[in-house]
Amino acid sequence: MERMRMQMRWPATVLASALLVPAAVLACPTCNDAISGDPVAAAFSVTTLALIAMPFLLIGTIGSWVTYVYWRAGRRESAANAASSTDAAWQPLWTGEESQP
Amino acid sequence: MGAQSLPRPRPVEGPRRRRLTLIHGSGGGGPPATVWQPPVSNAQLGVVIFIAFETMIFAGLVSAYWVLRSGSLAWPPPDLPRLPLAVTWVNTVMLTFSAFTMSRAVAAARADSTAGLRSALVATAVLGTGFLAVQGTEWVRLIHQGLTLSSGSYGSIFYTLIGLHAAHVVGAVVWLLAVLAIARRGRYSTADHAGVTICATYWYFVCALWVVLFGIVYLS
Repeated sequence: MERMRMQMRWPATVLASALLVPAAVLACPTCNDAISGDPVAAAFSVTTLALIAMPFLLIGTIGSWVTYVYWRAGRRESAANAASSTDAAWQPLWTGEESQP
Repeated sequence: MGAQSLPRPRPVEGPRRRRLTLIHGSGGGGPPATVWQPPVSNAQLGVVIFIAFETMIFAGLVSAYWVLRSGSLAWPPPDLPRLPLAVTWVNTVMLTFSAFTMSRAVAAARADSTAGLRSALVATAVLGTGFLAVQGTEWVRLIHQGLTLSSGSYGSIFYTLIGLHAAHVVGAVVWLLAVLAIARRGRYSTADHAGVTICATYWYFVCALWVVLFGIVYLS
């Protein structure tokens, strides 16, 4: 536990810096400096950020869809199993054939 | 003690174990084989991943369009012809309606209605071909008016973006005709109509993509 805490120290420091000092994070030319009044640079910045985000969006969408379809199939299967077990409960437990010679 | 303390193998639970389908007729008189059918087929997942790749391609092209547009003083340039809005509106409605007819085709395949499936596929193919014909006619008119691939960044990005989408529509129509040929043989049924569903997924993507491109290139 203590080792994990030590390992998480640096990522936590970087994340805290990003949240507390956002200007330092947006310091690269395509992200912050170039947006000052130039529409082409602003378009570059916006499209760069959009293209960075796009794969994560697509992978997240596909993953969510697959997860949802599997969850729905599992739920339907559970409902079908529950219905079949309810039907089985109504089957007669003794048919009388066992007592016949 | 050691042997007794080993954990018992637990039965596998969840949809992977429960969703079973029996396939008979394997011959030999043995017990029927048990095959697991996943909720998302490999072909369906493959088409979705392919669509994701296509989305990235068009996202890159739209980004290029955005940057080129931001860098020009007048968009479109004043010496070039304007894009035809009224005809393209009609074309957009036509392609959007083709998505509806495609959904009817999927519904007919699910309901095991071969005649309904054929007619819906034919209607979708006619609408898609009509879209291509109208767009081709408009392109010829624009080229005669002076808007060519080499007429500046406007012409090049317009023909690249819209032309790539038109190529996708051509591919989708060819795919649709292949599905129609299979449907004419009566190969699709309620239990097995994955070919129709996958083709419909791609068709929906092409239609939705056109709506986005129409808004960006023609309306904005």
